[in-house]
Amino acid sequence: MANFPGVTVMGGRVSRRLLALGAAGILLGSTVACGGGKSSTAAADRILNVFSGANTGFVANFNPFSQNSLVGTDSMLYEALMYFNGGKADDVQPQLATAYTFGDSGKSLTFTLRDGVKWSDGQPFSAQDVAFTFNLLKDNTKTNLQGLPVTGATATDQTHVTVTFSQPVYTRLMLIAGRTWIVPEHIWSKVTDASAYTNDKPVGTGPFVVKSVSPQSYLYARNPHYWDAGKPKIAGIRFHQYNGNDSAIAALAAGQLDWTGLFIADIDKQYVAKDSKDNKYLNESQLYVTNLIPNLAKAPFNDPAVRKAVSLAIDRDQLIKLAFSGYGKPASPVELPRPLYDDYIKPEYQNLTLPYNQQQAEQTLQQAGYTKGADGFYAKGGKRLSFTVKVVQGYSDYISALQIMTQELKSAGIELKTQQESFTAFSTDQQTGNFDVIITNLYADGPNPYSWYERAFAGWTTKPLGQEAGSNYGRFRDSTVDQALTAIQALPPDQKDAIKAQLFKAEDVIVAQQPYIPIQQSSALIEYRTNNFTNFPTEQNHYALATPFNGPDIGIVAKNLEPVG
Amino acid sequence: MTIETQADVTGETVPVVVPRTRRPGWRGLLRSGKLRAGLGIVLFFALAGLIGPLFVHDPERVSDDQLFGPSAAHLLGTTNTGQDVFKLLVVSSRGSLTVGLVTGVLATLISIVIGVVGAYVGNRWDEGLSLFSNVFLVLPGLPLVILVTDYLGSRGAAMIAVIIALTSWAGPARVLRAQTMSVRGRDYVDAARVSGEPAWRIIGFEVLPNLLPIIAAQFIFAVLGGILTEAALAFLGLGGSGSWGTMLYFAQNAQALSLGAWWWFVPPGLCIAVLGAGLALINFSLDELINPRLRVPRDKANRPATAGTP
Amino acid sequence: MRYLRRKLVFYLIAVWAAVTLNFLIPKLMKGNPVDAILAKTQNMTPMSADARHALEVQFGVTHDPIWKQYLQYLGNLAHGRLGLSVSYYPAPVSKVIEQSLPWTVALVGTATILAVLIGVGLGMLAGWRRGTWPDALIPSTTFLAAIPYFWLALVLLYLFGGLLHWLPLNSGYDVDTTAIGFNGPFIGSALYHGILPALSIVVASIAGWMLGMRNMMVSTMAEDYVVTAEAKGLRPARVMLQYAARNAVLPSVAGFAISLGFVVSGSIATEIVFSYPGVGTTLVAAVSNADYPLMQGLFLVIALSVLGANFIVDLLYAVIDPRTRQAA
Repeated sequence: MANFPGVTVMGGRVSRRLLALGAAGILLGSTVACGGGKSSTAAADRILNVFSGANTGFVANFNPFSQNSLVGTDSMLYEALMYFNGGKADDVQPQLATAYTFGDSGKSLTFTLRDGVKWSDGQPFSAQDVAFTFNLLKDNTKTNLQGLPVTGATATDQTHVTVTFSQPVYTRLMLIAGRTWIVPEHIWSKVTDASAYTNDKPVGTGPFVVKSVSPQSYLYARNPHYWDAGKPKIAGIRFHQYNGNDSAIAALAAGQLDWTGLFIADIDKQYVAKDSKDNKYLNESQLYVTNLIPNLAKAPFNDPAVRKAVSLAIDRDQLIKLAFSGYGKPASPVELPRPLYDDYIKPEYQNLTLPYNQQQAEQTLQQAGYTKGADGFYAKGGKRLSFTVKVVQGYSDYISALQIMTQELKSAGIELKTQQESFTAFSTDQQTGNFDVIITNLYADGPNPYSWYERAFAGWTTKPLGQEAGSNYGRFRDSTVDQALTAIQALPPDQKDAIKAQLFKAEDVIVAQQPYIPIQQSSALIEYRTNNFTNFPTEQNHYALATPFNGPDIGIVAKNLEPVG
Repeated sequence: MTIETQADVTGETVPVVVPRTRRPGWRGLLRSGKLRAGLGIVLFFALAGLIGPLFVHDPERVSDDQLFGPSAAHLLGTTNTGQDVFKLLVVSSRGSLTVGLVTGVLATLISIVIGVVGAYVGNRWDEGLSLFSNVFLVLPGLPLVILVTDYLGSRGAAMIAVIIALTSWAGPARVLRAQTMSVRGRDYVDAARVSGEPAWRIIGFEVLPNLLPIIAAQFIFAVLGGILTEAALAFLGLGGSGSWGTMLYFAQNAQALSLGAWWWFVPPGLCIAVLGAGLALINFSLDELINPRLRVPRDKANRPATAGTP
Repeated sequence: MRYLRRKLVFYLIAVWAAVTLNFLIPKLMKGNPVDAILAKTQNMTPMSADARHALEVQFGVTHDPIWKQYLQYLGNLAHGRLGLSVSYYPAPVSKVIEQSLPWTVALVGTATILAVLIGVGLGMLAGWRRGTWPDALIPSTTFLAAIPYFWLALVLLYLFGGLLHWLPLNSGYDVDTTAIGFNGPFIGSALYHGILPALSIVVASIAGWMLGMRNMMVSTMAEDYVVTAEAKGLRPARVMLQYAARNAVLPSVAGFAISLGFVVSGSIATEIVFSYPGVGTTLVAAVSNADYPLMQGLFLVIALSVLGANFIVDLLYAVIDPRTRQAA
């Protein structure tokens, strides 16, 4: 059942996707019944019905500094200074700020703020509020979930604010300007611990305000004070909850939902066919890459030949077809999601794919000194080529994928075993490096691939075995990659060519070394029905990610939707 | 044969059946149609679990035949990854049966130790053990199992069975204790005690044989309880020990219900229900053995109340 | 009164055991909740030691000696503090439970009472007139008793919700047209949505009651006072109800208390199948979110509810069965 985000009951598919998207936090929701077909309510008063994957009752929490705030808190209630489009690289739009300039070799940032913005209680928004928010991150580290090295913030006048940092922050512009939710000083200065505040009656600058909250659903209504004239065009948006995918799919098929991100097996039969004119969907296929992440700090995966052999022995087309319902896309050996980061992929790697060739896999092993034993498995030094893949229990698509890989690898003389464990145990093992191989996702986050590469491959994001590494769980270390990434840290984001040149150096190493074994690119199905509302993102008009579970994209989509008729 | 009510240490009243004969009449039992049906069903599944997997070649083999309905090539159709449902069903029977059997054996052993020994030795031991089992009896089982499996991490069928057994021995222990109390006072037990036989001998040779039908009935209940609890755990995605419950979990996750793939989610549940009915039929006959009058219509007899449904 | 005192002592010990067990289980756990939280936040930069420590404090990861932790835990419980939920942080666990408990109490309570009434009634008839249709049903009910609750729920859902569209597929009530409260539409909607989940619990649990009652009835029918009453030529209905059934039902009352634990367990999976907003759903979600404070809080609430229900039944038992008062 519930192949759904964060709070997945049993699935794991969207859950991982969602976790990826970070800021959104845990998603909650409720049931619907507004009947199929076109709503009889006047267009201007019509409410958009959304299911964002919630499978437990809602508890009011509109704290933008909390991981678990209700969906929409970031970007629908509170806004950031700029919007970084998750669906398109380097697409940055002004929000509360209209411009920024770096100073002090990247250690200070000055924002020019929009004029005439009001908080939803009618009070004027000013540079003081922005300075207050950044100082809050500095003073209360529990609110600073992104770990920004803020040293201070001052409002120079009503529309200018300067934030200073302890180190250059060229590579963190998105977190500072795009993921820091600005709160009103006149309310939050009275809150004792901003990280432990549920903020039941939020006051923000966003396009919506909270209308009502119950355990089964909550409703946002249009903010009459909103600065972007004429927006939002819809009267409100209601978030619902279902425990199971089956019941949510039924509600969607019955026309009770307008926008969801449900995994639906055989989507044409179960969804599109019910109303082929209005039942549309978009496969957001560039959110993450599913990888086998081997432990590079120990045998056998410290040997690149073994990684290559395993990669060669996997038939990704079959995997995608059988385990991922045919929705996944083949992954690129540069480890970056395409076409999102195509601009940053070295021309000669643009069309590079990961081949499936069992014979070549065996040759690779033989060249590396492995010999096939009587049991049909390769061995070296009397040790059979065998490894265990750890997977979170209940992630049924991964478990199916591993069953298939077990067979494929067996016929190439490699033994794969699967071990399921609880999410907590998995998290600890993943961070301490207590595994041969794990199956997990790497997520796209940022206007360019720098942060992806930093998290996955930078030497400074890993730790020796036994210590907790925040990312780079595979323990990859390479001086060329580290130098390239360090060089990018000193480059302002507008020097795109210089950044690309450095990334190309890192890509050379990744392609040659193949530290991870990519399986597929994501398959996030987003369903939307166009009989009552239009202007959802499409592949041609990708003005935001179409996913209905994470900010800031969800707020951008919601304020640009238009009622029909 | 009489019925007595005994108040145990906590004041709990337990109805007790006191069989008149010393050795139960096992032979007459085999004539019961219910027992034959029950034994037949259980034997069938036991064989399927024991030797079935030997005949099933590579049950996890995937293919491009995704979600095919039943046919000659695939007796019960295929899953979303093209696995043969019938093969999976046969192989999964082993997982479910193992959990049931291990749970049954362990829970019965624990209940004998706690129930019989406590009641026979008496005094403080009895008070303590009885209190202990009464506490376990009222703690909600499945939530506890869910918590413990999550904390310990699932490690296959045996581990799950141990956890289930540790949370399900209390009911049987209480019934056995009540029975032991009544058997303890019999003449022949007193005689054995007076003649200086050691306690373990008296328990082993005088007390236990009298309790056999009841132990058997409790064992069968424990097996059924184990199978059902494991199925629920697996279905919630917390077990994963290659059982019928695991099959149901995968079917549910692949939306078998809304895709109309009934051949995938109906057979595992049906297997559990039929095997369970088989076990229950055996128990039914055991009840009649303990209580011969239950089997003759319009005759009057007694039977201990069994605690709820598992 | 001795009976009552012994009962009270017993329940105090049982409560203590549940509370202590609840304290001990997380100590066995592999992994650290803070790791799970960090894995979810996908931090770009490794969290500073200070920030990590702050998180650990919030979620009760301490390195104090175990007895100290135990005392702190008891102290918090005494003040009704169940801690903060991880998946709903910073909302307190008690608030999350408060929202889900009434649903389960209503569903499980109603379904159990229905199952008992129907089961005991049919069992009474079966035992009263051996060989008639209720008695003939007995062996077939074993099949019902052996069906996994959740599987029955799935099949019912498929038939009535999916194929026939008679009953709603999910959820506790209709959120769009009704609001929670004591109003007609809401209660009607809640009842309508409760039919299928309740039905699946009733069908799967009725057999045990029926069998137990039937067998006790058969036993009681052999008792002298029933035989006498029959011989005196009293009306059969009167003999059945006032003489036989009244005595035969006693073990069923005791069984009722004990079975509550089983029913709560069974309803966990049922709630999941029906997207029912109760504690079962919340518990399973808490497990998959590694929300240990919530799991502990839920277990405690479930255990205490079952204990409380047992206690009430025990008190009732003392009232209806004079022998308990004498025996002890």
